[in-house]
Amino acid sequence: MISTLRDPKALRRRLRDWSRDPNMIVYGVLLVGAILFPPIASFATGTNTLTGLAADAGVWVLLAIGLNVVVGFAGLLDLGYAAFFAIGAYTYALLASTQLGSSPLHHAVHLPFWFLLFLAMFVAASAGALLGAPTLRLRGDYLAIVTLGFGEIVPRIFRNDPGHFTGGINAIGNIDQPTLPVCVDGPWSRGDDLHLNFGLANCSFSITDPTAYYVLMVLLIIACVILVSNLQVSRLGRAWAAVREDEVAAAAMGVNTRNIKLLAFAIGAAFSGFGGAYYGAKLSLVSPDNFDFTVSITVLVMVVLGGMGNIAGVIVGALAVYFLEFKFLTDLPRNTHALVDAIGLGPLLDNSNPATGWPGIEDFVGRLNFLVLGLILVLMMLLRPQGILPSRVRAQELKAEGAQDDTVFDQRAGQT
Amino acid sequence: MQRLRATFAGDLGTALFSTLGLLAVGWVVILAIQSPRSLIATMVIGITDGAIYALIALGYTMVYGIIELINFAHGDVFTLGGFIALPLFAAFGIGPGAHYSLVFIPILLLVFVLVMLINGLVNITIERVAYRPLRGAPRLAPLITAIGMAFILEGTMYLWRGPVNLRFPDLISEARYTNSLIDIGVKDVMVVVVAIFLVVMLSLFINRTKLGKAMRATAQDRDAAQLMGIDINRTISATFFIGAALAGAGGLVYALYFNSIRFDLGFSAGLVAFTAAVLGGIGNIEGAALGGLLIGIIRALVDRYISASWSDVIIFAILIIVLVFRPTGLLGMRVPEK
Amino acid sequence: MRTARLGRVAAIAAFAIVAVACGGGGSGGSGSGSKGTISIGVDLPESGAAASSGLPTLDGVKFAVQKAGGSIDGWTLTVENRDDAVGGSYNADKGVQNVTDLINNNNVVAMVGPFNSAVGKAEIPIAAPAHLTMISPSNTNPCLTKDLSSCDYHPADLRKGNPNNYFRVVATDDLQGPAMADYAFTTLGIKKIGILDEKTVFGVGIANAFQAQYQKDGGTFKRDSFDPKTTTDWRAILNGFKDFGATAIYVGGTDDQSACKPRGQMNALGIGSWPYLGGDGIETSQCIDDAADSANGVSATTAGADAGQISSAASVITDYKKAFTGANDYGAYTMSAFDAANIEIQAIKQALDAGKDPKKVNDFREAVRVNVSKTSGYAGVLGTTTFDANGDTSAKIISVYAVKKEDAAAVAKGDLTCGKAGGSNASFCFVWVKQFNFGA
Repeated sequence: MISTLRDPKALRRRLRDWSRDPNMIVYGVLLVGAILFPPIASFATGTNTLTGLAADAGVWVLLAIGLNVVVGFAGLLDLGYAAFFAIGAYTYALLASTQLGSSPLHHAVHLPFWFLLFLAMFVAASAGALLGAPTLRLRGDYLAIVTLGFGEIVPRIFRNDPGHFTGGINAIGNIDQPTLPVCVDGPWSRGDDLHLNFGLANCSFSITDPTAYYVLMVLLIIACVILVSNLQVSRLGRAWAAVREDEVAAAAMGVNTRNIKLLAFAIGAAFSGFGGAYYGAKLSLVSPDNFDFTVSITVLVMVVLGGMGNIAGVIVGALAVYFLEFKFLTDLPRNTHALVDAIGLGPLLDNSNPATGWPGIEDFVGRLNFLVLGLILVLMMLLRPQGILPSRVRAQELKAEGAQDDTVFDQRAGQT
Repeated sequence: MQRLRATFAGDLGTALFSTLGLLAVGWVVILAIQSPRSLIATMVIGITDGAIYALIALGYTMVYGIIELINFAHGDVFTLGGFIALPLFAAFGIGPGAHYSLVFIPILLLVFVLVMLINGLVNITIERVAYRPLRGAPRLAPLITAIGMAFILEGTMYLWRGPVNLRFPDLISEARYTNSLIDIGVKDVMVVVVAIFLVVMLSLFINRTKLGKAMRATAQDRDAAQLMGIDINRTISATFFIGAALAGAGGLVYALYFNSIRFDLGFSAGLVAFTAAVLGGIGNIEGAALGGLLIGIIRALVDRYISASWSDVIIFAILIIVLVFRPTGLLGMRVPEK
Repeated sequence: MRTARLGRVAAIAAFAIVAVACGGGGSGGSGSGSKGTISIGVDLPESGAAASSGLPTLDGVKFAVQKAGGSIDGWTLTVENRDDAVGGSYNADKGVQNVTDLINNNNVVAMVGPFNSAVGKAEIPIAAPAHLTMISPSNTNPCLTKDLSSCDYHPADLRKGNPNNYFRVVATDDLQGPAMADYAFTTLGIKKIGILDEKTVFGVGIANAFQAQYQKDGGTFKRDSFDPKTTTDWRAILNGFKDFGATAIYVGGTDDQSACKPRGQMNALGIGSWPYLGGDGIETSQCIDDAADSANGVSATTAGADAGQISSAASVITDYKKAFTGANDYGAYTMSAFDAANIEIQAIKQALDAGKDPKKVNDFREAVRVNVSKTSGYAGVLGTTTFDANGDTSAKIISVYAVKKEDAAAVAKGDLTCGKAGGSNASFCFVWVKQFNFGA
């Protein structure tokens, strides 16, 4: 590849390829948006709240990128993805807090965030491989059920805490913040003027200052996108495509389908491990309540909505669903209340009449959550199964096969 | 490698199953010696819960048998049965605080029929709108749609009645029969009788009627069945109708038993019932009934003698073990692996 | 290599974000006429099943702000409320996000909340470094403030070396549990009991406290727990209690986690007449509804005095009901929230009087925190509040309530916690029975 760069012709060809790729436009817009977002948001609202929200959205983007490897690239349906997220989060929480001090080990462990980020990734990937090894030979929908069962079991074990390690219902709080050897401080964090700080103690992230986390998240996502894009066009990526399109044929061509699927599972899990460690640090809290089935489904919705198999699409899907779920629908009751007040429909707010059972418009719109998630899934599958930004390969496949066969997964995907 | 894998799934699976089964039986024997009365009481609970799981599991297994779709929305179709019954009762002047009276029996029977009918029609509509257009599509597409459908149903019920536990009229007698060993209520008998009646009816329907025959044929080979002149769409609709009718009856039985229902009840109940269908051998009607009973009993035993906070872990562990080591379940699948 | 270069460009770009970010920041708006806005943050579960706990409590804070005329010394006083419920029940992660959000809001100088102890445990480490005062109207888990041997952690660890910012106007479960234990053992004469918890911070904590005292009193017990999200059939557990020979059940839990649904299933086992006891988590309308035909016999403690027993409270409650007219607007913790908000308003006023500038938000929050911690002899609706060094209130009164059938007039008055209006248990209400005063 280095030689490609040295050769101006090849470089030009590559640039032309890029400029024709709609994904590159999406990436460009996303990157510019990511850079402009914090200053604009804090200028408009006077607080860093939206930046913090955007950093949280980044966790979901990571999860969606990871699940996309499993569902979009390899065509395996994973309904227990939240379990790996939980494993990543707990790995970080246990090894970077006082928690293990009150466990049977009686010794608190405080490892640095940067190391644990990768350890969490590794642990989650191992868990993925461990679950995948015996189950990946199952047909597609059976695999989905096994992962679902796994996803239900893992958070319950953390919750029941049989060995007194995870703190169970007490959750793990007070988790260490990442520190850097050097940092630039300014009005956005400590002090009013721009200055350099040295030393781990002076350069700790802070829960209440989301800017640093935001930057970290943007960097993480960029790294992951580069990694996954390269994987997609690599030998492994082609093998995934082959397995997805026709497993039998792939096997006949000498692809080791089991290992290929296992790798997809492990790599997919790795990203949620990444996300989990970051999540634990940013929130400084890991409780067993936040890794249930809804999380797995929400990530799936992000992938399906964005366009399975297309990384840029999946990022857009994740951001869209995050905005919908955690901003629009969360604020909807309050905003509806204000709106109804403003246009003089006061009676709609009245929830005091037991005879009608009307819960008040505020509560009513607060209940829309499930319905909206469900509608997205069904409508997308029926109307645009390839997603908002379909993968180029998939789009071509769809065109070739015609409207009748709007396949997202191949007929034989996952069947052995 | 291939042979190793076969051993893994075949002999090893059988060995594992026999060992686990023997251990479980041994445990139950010990419990029986310790306190037969408490074991019997637990069994009654297990069987009543199991009967309800069986009613749900039948729908899973029938739909899977015929179109190989894990109908995720089925658990919520079960809840819907209870939700539909409430306004029906209200229409007959039975409020949520009503109590058992012989006068209500005919109304109760009528409501049963109506709930099954409405629930069946709802499910046919779901199939038409959400699953049929995807019939030619790869199998994961309808699976995702089914998950979406589950959320839509749950969301609709949430929107309709809110997050609270809804009170359900208490129309079955609270009378109990008690002696030194057994303690059993009219409600317990009602659940089991209704379940047995419905399973027998279903079995007769599938084995004795023309439509039942068509269903069996379609399950075995859809293309061949079509060539033989069977109306596939009608047969699949009938399957969805019957599955939902049974689940609706289950939902009503549940609500009558516990006098309470909540919008998200079907999610966990559905997963447990699905486990039951898998345990019995998915696609197999008798298997679903047996699996339901077994899962109900296992759950009651765990609740009683271990802890309710572990029962879900154990049930999902069973699900995974069955799928990994014996995907055909206890009684074997009707649908062969293609 | 292409990827490396792309990465480098991206890294530079991302650091540029930081540089540009300084352009924003700190442009808090202020209304015309007033000197600016001061807000009291509120974090409570306000949606789904938990809304029946959170909303009446929120109204208590709103009422306090209304009573203050919506301003202090020319500053506009507002309520910034956040909902910490996800999927209908409280969520600690959401609580942490809310508190972070409140801290980043430069108008917020103190907060009321949270409602649930599990959320409190998660939020204190976030709020403590920001010196943001938290007064909980309802957290009763003792470990949040007291360094007890039965706790898994030390309250000082929660604060990470910062001065105490967490206070509460209610008594704790190490009083609530024992009060009910004594009531059960001595007053009701129950010698064998089944203790059930729902596996939450609050539920396990209060059940442990009950169990310890009950054992000390000489009673015997059988303990069990369930999964609040998925357990729908409690009959096997209840049968276990029956086999044990229990004659009553104590439940550690809250109604939004279905702590009262087992009660509704007891009738089917022929034990619907057993006393069903619990903490303040079940002193709610939802619990009475969930108890179905067995509402009679449910008893609960609350961690404060009963407003009906304090003569000075009556007029405030009457005023409140004129302002908040909904059928279920008055809850068990409305008046605690009212007191909590008033203590903060008083502290804010003191800070303003001392010449502190709310625009310097960090200094001002610290001033408020110091003033709150010095609260002494504050005469509120629920009695006199003095905070000790741990942040606990000096008023250590536990009230015991039992469900009784009331006539329509008593229900309509609206100061009892009754079944939901229009429901079949609407005439069953929690009626005050007695109180234990541990402070005397």
